[in-house]
Amino acid sequence: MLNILGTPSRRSAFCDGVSRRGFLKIGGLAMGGLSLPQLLQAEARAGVRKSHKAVIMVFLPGGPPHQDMWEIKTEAPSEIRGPLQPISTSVPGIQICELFPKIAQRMDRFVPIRSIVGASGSHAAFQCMTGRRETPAPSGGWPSMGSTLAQLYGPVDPNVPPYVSLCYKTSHAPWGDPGRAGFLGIANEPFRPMADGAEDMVLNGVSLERLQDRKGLLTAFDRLRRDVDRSGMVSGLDAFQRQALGVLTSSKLIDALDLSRENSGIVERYGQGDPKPRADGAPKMVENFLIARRLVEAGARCVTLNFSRWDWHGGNFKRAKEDMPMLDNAVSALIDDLYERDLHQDVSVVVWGEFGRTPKINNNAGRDHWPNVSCALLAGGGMKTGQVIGATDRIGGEASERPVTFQEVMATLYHNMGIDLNSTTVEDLTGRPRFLIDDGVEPISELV
Amino acid sequence: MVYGNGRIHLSVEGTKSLKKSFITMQSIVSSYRTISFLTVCCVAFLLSARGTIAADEFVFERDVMAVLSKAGCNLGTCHGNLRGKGGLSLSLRGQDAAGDFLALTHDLAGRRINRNAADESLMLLKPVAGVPHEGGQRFQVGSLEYTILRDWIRAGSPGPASTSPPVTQLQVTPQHKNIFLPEDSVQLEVIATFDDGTTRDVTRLATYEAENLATRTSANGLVEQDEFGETTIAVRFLNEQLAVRLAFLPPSRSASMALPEPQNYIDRHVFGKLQELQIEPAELVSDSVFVRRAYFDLLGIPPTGQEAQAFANDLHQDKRARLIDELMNRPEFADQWALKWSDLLRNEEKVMDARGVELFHSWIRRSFAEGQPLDEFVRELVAGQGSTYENPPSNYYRPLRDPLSRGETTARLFLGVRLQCAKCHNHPFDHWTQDDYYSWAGVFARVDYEVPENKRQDRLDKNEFVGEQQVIEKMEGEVTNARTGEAATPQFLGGEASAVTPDASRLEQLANWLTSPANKSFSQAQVNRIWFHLLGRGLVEPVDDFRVTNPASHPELLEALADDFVRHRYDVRHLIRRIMMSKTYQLASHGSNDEFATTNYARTMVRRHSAEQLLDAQCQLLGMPSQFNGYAEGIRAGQLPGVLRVRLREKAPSPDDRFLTVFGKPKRLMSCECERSDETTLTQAFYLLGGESLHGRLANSARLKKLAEPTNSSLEIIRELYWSALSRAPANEEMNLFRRQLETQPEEREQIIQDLAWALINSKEFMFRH
Repeated sequence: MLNILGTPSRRSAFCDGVSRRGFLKIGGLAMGGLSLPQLLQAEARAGVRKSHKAVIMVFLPGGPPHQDMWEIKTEAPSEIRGPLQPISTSVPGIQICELFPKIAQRMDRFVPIRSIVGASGSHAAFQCMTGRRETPAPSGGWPSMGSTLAQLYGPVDPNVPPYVSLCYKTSHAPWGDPGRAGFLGIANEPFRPMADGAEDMVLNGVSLERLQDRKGLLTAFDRLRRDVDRSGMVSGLDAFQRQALGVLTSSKLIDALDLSRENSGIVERYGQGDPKPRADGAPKMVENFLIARRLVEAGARCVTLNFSRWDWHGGNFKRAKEDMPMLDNAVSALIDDLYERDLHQDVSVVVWGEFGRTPKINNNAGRDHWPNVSCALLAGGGMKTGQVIGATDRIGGEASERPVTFQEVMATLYHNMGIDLNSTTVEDLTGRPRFLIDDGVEPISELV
Repeated sequence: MVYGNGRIHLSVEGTKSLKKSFITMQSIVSSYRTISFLTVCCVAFLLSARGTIAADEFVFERDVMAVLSKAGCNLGTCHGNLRGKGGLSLSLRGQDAAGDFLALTHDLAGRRINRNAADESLMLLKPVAGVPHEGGQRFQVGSLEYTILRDWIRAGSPGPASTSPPVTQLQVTPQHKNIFLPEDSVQLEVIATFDDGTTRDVTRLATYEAENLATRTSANGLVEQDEFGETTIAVRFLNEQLAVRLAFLPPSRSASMALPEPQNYIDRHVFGKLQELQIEPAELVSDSVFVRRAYFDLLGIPPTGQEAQAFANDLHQDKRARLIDELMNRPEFADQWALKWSDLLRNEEKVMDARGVELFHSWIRRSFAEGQPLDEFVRELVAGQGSTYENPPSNYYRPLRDPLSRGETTARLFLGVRLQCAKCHNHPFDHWTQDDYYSWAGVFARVDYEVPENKRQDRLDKNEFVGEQQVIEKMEGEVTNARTGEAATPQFLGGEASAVTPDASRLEQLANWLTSPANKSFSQAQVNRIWFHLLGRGLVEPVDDFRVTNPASHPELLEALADDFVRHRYDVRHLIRRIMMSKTYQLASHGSNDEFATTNYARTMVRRHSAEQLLDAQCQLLGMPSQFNGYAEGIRAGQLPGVLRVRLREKAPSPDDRFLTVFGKPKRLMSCECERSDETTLTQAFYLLGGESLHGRLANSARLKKLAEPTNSSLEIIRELYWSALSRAPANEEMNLFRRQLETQPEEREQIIQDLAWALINSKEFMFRH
């Protein structure tokens, strides 16, 4: 990771303590010169842990109908209730929508949150990616969770970027927001094999063989010029060059993205996706749920993805019958995978959208925007699953029990990553330390 | 070294004998300094001997407040947080004794204090972890911290008294020291002077914060080395602080080093320090490296093959000096500085509009082309009024829409001071108070805008502005001080003569005060920035972060440069010439491979070329123009006035526009060098290895095609490529390697030449300034 080697262009230690950046800078240069206890102490302060924990975030662009997913309002009048029925789940007392039978069977591995509040109301992934509203923001903008994790931890494997976004670009651009780095700078931007990265990962007419020739030339050339090489900065570039060349030829990263390398039985579990974008939203690529798991295994610390388009102002129930079973399949296959591979303690999964939808069904059998309350589905991460958090009122219009903010969900995910929110900060461009989550917001105590 | 002005009140029996044995121990220690174990033992011993001050001496604002800082209670991550922690909120780093007193004694109905059983007070149980404390154990029962708090509680927890004199000065010895092995530690001694003239040794209660992890400082001010290197330790006691600079070094060598003969005063300062630190400087660079550096630093582009060869073949002794002068008179020199200042002055289309950007950029460019003294340039900016179209410098205030951001930006750009911390609380690492902040902002209170019409295209975007504006200075208006809630009295930032006549033009007064030769902050901040652009690292680093706790690496050099600059009428070219002629500038980038050597300029720092420089160098090598949305073909990246002329929603960015973004061209939303990224990323590697912008250029380069013509021998081709790409002749091995490629497959000559060019462009030597 080049952070180790780059110019300390932003001041390292600012308000309190030694920053991760400062730590790396010194750690990297010391070449083993730090004593072990000191290193451990510094690591502990910098929030560095040895195990590889990760977050997979599934963003449902458009705002999914909370009342048609994890909490069916059977007592509500028919103009609110809709035709979908609740079903019982493997956890006595928890009922969810009939369109999620597989999740229902595995309810002990999930936690639906029925009472997400505080949505900004804007039609954008931003709040789900960052936990913040877009404004007010420090210069450069708020960083996403993935960028923050990349900044704090760096890569697990030098050949795999720590933060990968499988989000597609969408013609309604804010739904294609992969979760950007904001003030954390370009080094912490997500690697986007489905968007910008896709164009760069192709060889633009250069054959693989020729690239190999070029690579040989470059290596031979650079070897002859070792003297330029003695500064650390340059070896940082080397790492990226190797990684990029690896991707262009073959590598761990490209393997992770390549489903032909996966057991076909497992691929089938996730179902069959559809690469065609849903109107101005994302395509329904259930395969990306599997790729996300493969990326995490390869070393990614955060993977974001967007799935379909949930802005159902019309035909809410028709669309629900198309998309919800796909989501049911993909999410339950992902969770099965995580459990089978014993990753469920380390990998947290969150599935959510930017807001909920109106209690009242409109004339087009749709539901409109409803920022007052929405929902999320959590799993893994060592959380106490098999319970429900929160509830809404009789018509599903307001949170009636245990309102949960976006930031509380973020705090829980950071907590699952092993981060102490009371002491961990990242620096903004002015050098001011910023907590990852607003002060006073705690992880959801029922879950951790 | 006794806390309490040398007067020891016995509260521990036998302290005198302890003290005596301490003295004996100390002499043992000094003869066995390398046995650090013993040192540690003695310090621990000493500590227990020290907590010996009588209760009647404890004063809240001096002793209790010092403990709160010493134990870290009032840090931003703990109770110093805006909202406190666990229900206790203290002022950040103890800037408000009265408020902290109330919080400790009155909040929770006084539950934190138990006068009858002082040891049972929550405020003691928490920090010793006698009850669960999220912050862990801060000190032990019986420590000096404990004793002070307990005895203060026993004495009835008296509040701050107006008669208690504040600290006016700290004195730390040593203030600066080079420590050579076998010495591996140094004991700091901190003396505080109070307003009433009294002094007191506060070594034990001062706090010590090291800039890096190379050292450890005990509670007692003993600094021990872990690694070789230089460090700054910020020492603070109550509201005063200063920095100590220490260098821990390998054993001193008796033989003096062979240092190069200094070229000018810069070398005398830099080499002098290297001599002290016993770091051998790198050798001077060859002509081929120098010519490349000079072109990139002065023009933002590499020399062409011919230019590089001409310089190599020039046999005159003074050719480096002549090259510098020659280049500074080329138009690209002005482009280069217009680019740098356009970054800092936030010259960006959304706020300035495309026409404004163009006009502002040409004004900046002309100023540097004509050699306008920098003080005049800055005067025009900060006093800039009138139409943003007719008087471009008035654009300075266009993106700065409120007095606070005007104050912060002006301080940062022209005084090198990051003031924003003082907006919400006194600056934790400098002497600026919240009042200073608002008084300074008050200077800008009356700037206003007449906006005839905003022709913005996106009605929802409040930042967008299209059209002319008039920047004016009103006759009224003040800034409200957030601390007092009252109008702030306008005042310049520090120094003598900081008063402002409220009803004359404040901007005119500002321009005079700011650029006055007496204002050393201005000249130092400006030379530091120029030095940064040439050497890659400011003497004060970051360049806009001058503060008490961040001293310059070479303070005397900084002063000498500033004096030189002022004496030569703020002539940028003069200063650049002075720096580039020094041997310091001309040192090679290899040599000792540690940061220590780089920060002391023993070798040149290797850094990636900027986005614009890389793209322009590629284009020059391949003889292909770049293409940016909204501009005619042929404009170089380094000449672009703004950021994005055509908005993204109207047209996808061109491959070259994207190249610049990916390689870290700033969006110009901040007035800070730090917005430009020199980081390296995976995406960048893709752009260079397989990206479409380079790919297209390689495939279509007429220059490469021409090189491939059969009349050119492979020797000529390789020589030409090397001189154009790297400003030097190929070495024998390189020649052989590339020749083999060309000659084994003659039928694929054109392709192989493309591959060679690709390899050169992707080589580190091409991408890094070294």
